[in-house]
Amino acid sequence: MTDDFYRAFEEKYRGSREDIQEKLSAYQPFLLPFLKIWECPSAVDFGCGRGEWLEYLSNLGFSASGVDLDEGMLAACQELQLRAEKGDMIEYIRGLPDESEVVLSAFHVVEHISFDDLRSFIDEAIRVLKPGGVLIMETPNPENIKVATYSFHFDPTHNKPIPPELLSFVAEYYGFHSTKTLRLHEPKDLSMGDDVSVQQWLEGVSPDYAIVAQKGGESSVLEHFRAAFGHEYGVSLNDLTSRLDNRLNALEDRTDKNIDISYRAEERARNAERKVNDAEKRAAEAEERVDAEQRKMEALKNSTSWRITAPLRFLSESRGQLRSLKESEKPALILRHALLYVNRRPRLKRIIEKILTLSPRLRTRLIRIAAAHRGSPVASEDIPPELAHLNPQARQIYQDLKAYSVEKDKERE
Amino acid sequence: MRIVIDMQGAQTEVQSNGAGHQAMAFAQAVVRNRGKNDVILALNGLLSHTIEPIRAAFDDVLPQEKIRIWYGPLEPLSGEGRESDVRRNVAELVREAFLASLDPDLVHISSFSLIEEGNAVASIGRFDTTTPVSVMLSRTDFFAASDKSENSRLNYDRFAPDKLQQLKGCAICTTLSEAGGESSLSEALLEDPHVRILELSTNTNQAAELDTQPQKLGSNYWERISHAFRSAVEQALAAWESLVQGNVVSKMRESDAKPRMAYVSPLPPEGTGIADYSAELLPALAEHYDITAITAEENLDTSRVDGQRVSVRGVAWFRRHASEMDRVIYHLGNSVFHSHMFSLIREIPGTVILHDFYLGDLMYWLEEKGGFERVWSRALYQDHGYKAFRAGSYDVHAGVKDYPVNFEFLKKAVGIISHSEYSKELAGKWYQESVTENWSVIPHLRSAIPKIENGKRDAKTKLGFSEQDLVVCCFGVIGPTKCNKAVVESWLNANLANDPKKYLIFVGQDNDDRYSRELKQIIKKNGLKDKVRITGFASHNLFHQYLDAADLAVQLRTLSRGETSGTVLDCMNHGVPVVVNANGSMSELDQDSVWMLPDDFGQGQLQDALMVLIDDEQRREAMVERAREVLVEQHDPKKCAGLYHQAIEQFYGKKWDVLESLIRRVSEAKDSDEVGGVELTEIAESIAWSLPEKKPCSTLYVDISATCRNDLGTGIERVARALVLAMFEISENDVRVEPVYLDFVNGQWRHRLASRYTLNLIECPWKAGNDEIISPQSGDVLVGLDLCGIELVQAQKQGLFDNYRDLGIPVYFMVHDLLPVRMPEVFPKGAGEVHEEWLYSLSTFDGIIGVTETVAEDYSQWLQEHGIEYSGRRPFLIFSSHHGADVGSSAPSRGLARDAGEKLAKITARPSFLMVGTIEPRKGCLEVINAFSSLWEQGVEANLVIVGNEGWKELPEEERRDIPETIRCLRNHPETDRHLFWLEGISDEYLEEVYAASSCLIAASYGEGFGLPLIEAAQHGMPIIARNIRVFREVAGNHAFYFNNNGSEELADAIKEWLELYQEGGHPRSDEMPWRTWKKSAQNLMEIALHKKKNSSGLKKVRNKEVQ
Repeated sequence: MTDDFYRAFEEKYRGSREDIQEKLSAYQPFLLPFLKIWECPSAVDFGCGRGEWLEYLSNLGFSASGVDLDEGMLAACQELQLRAEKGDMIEYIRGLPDESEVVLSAFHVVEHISFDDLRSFIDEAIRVLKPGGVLIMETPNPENIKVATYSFHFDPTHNKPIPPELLSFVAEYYGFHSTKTLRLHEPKDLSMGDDVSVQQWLEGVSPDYAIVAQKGGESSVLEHFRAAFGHEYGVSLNDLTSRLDNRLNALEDRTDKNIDISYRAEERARNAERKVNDAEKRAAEAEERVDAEQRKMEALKNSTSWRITAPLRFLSESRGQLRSLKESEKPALILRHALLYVNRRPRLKRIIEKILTLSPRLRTRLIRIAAAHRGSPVASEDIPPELAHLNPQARQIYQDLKAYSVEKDKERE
Repeated sequence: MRIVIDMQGAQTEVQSNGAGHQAMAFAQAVVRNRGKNDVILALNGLLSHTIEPIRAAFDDVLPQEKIRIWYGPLEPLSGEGRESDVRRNVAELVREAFLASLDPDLVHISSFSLIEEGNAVASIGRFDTTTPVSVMLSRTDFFAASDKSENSRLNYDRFAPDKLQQLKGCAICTTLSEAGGESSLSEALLEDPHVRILELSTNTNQAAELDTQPQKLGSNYWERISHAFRSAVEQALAAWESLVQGNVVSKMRESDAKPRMAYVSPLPPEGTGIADYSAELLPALAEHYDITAITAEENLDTSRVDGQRVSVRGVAWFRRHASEMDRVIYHLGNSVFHSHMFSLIREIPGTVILHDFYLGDLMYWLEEKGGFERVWSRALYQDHGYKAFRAGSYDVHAGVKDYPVNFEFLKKAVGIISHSEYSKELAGKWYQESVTENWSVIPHLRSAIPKIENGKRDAKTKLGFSEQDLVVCCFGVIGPTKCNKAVVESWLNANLANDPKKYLIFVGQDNDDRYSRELKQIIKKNGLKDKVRITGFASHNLFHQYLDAADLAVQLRTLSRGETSGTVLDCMNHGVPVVVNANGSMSELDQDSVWMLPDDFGQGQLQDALMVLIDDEQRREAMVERAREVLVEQHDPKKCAGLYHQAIEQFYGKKWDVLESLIRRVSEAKDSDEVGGVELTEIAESIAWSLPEKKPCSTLYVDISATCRNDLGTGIERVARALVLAMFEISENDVRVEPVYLDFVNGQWRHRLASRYTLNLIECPWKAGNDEIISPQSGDVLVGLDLCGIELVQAQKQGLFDNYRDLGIPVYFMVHDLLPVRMPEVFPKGAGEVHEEWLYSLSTFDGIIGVTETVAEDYSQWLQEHGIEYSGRRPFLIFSSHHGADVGSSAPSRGLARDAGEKLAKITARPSFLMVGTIEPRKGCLEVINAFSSLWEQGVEANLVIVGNEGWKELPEEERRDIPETIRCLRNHPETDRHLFWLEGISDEYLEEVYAASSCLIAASYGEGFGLPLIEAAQHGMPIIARNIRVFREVAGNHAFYFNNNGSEELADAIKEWLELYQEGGHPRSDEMPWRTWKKSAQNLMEIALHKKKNSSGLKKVRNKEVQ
């Protein structure tokens, strides 16, 4: 098909030209030495696409040309006046003379071709390269779990992901002198600490990698590349896994400690509970004793002799209070107490009332004293027996009526 | 117009006296032709035998709540001597106070001449001097009366001059025309220019109709009378109407001088918005009143309000000078700044301005720290019932938050003012509608401030913003109810965070609680630290700087509890456009003056609002413009103060503290030398009956006298218990469920609240107070659930229930069965007699609810058999309502007997028939055993399993009917423990196993009220063989196999037939048998009691001997 599908696809998913240019700078250490050795060293890019790499190489001073199957892509190269032609990569490399090129590259190509083609390609590459020349193959990194399981399959023309070890083995097998794995394009913010989240573990490994394979050559040439080959690039799965493990171990340690603390707290709580239970038991026993005493007391109070002697006791209890009062208040207080006593006993009250009708003056005085005895509002726990049949509102009205009577009495006096 | 008609004229000798009859006829005519007028009939409770006939006569034309009763203190009221004078005196005052408490526009006394006989009293203008009174003079005018007995004439001689004088106090005298104005009374009245005589024209036919006895004319007698009186009533209504209008006008004119007002409120510098509010209101209100502001703090620096024609005093001063105040108002809010008002308003009533509807925090503070013991928890119960009390006991925080607990204030208030309709709606939702009667809504106030040139720029500079910066503010304490998180999230989603010129500022306290920590986390995580800020506590100054600087405000609320938001008005006043959501009172804001989101707005809607308003400056300006207009139109302090004045004067125009003045007048009228303590209780009780307290809502009293004394959790008690619990669960705020029980106190039968029992039942850990005597009032209902025979009969004989019914409290009782009466042979001797008396007592109530239709019909049959008549009273209603069957034993007992495994194995081995229930004669146990004995003899392989305890153990042997024989048979039967198993006293767990092992239930009772075992069997999916009696047919329908009541041989045949069907799988199954839940059952019962079910199919009316 010759529509612009791949071009559109790349625009959307590989990122803008500028982005890619920036990404490509990772290869700089492997390119710059050539410029010192050869003037205008030549390079071929297989699957050159929109030509970002060609542009990059040209800017550096390489004489670069590219091959691609997609005409849409080639058009983009031609717009930028980059050298690129249509062709099949295997056929094309076979047509190149021995030891003619310094840099061969294939960005995101090898995952599109069969393994046999890959082998032929590498085999041809070592032939075409000058001694000391390099082959660069960039491809998605299956160590990144999200890439391997998800995003790799985004591209329907992808064949199979290739593990870094496999790709570098193939290169070594066909006679490359040394290979280097560059892990690329990992998120910038992944700090170096152990603070790795599961999400980072799943997505944070460098999503792409490249194998840079160098053909043997004079040691004076190879010398220039030692630093570049000695460096480590990117984030590997092993790296992230061990960082995550460290974090989980630390968490586990902390959890263990917390469990320890909670065990101790639980123990303390259990002790406290035991103490509370003891206390409760003791309280219940005490209550029981008090109840028993109260029952005895009640039995005593209900006994006839206690009732008969009640007025006597009342007087002897009152005597103590009386001492502190003025002489004129004493009779009133005694009467008031007596009245309370009488008021709670309806039968006695009726008898006394009969007697009192004979002496209206005494009666008036008694009632006045009774009314003057207005304490706090009736507590719900202690309702006078004569009001027991009234609802709370009626009791309140009763109290209010009494209160007014008392005011009136006061005014009269 | 509310017209109260004093019906005493009709109460004195309704049947024989022509004038009494005329009073009744006229009242009927007024009621039937009342139109939109509200008519209340006032009856004298001491003439109790006349109440029921009058209630019955109005039953179809006037709601029973419109017939109200008052009680004089003591009888007799007539007679000679000082004591009678005092009693009559008190009775007159109570009557007038009672009438005033009904808040009438006019009182009509239907027959002034008749009152003064027996226990009737009437007076005019002795207590209530403002309500106009209309009097009807009768044809047999008392001055012209010559056929009176010696005794009555003596009365006239004694009272005439005094009554004549009072009669001059009435505003209008009506008389029917043929009575003529010939009597000396009319002449005497004509001398007084204030009294209007109105002759109502009638025609001669009407007079003829009046003389006819009702019985002769049939059921539409009153209708015909009313029709005949129609034009007379229309004349009277027109005259009354103009009288009432005139009265209103003259009342309005009276208020010339500025009344003195005590203004109880927090004032600045106290740290509450209400203090600031008062500072704004006071100067404007001082135009209408001579104001003394009352504050809790004695030494407050009140320079902000002083000198504005307002003086400031403390609470102590107010208490001393309360009587000098013409008007009192309380500004009430839900905070500790209002704690002094709780006791003040109970001593000195006033108008309440309700700034917060929910007062939980204030009340809880009073209980915890304010020294008012249990005031909050008690209010939970008093205002909202047991459900709330329980909720509060389990979760104090939720209790405080969820319940308004403000009824004490509403009850005492002369009138209520709120700032939003929403508060008023809440009141209607939480309490009965009448609470909102004296209620005015006056908008929150704000005096519009002038627009300041460049004010926004200056404020921004002061706060460190540049002029181009766009500042969006959320004012108020950070918290989940203010939706702060939603604002930040929308801010992020709307991509406003990336714009370096846009700021979101939360101006308000940050309590460092979970919510605000989460909020800060969101801000931090998104790196918004500089662009989204929380100021923390904002001083008055800082707050105002932000108000001046803000370009937009977002004021959101959720879970509103009726608070009014002053901040939105602040924003409107400072020219800040506001985004609000329509929560609570905010929905009442003018739609064009704010951006109104829906109450439960979505994130996207808020985002849109932010984006549109931030971009569209014109739109913001339009909102601000409209907001300014709204402020001036609705929130201007002068205008609001005018509304305050209008509302307060209207409140005080009504008769509000009738009870207080009555108590004062009564204690003046009675002589403490003459009236001793005992009589005082009777006066107090008569006042309490006549002027009942306002209640949060009407009460459904549930009589469970037997259950709460002795709850064994079985039989009827179990039913009562389940129904009460279900009623609590389904009851809403419109009715309150109160379990009660009968008690005999000081020689009187009374109902007490079963609070101790109930708290225990609902597992509430808080302690109850005393079981108080109940205070039922018109509108309440009593429903009896259990069977407390002797007590109920006694209480009924003493007249307790008649008293309730007089007051307008319908009484219904549940009838579980009539079995002791219907089949005395299976009950202990004498049981039938008590039951019969109980049934008789019930027949004097408003109706019964049978637990099945069978029972209901049995009861109406019984009424017929006993010739109980229902003439001259309200109809007797017969309902039925099935029990629920969904709750098993609340705490199932556990444990299996040692030989359980062996027995269960034998039961499982062959078809086993199960009987469940106490062993007593009614259950037909012996008959079943005999039937099985004959089956076993025939070699039928089947088991009989009887689960149940031996009944009637406490009775002597000779009274236990066939129980001893049954037990002997069970113990000594040759098949015992082979084919016959008796499991006594087994646990619920064991019973479950037995159900699982058995094949069929036998229900052999000769009679049952309900038949719960059938439903239990159905719930176990077990087939049923039942005796063919009506109640089983009603409960089980086609889902059981029936045998006829023809002795054990026929039963044996039936079992054989069933076994054959069973082997073929052709026996009736019980799985589909319908049954209802307790909730459904309780619902049905409440609908019956609350008269929501008047026309349902389950209803029977008994009236005039016939059962329909």
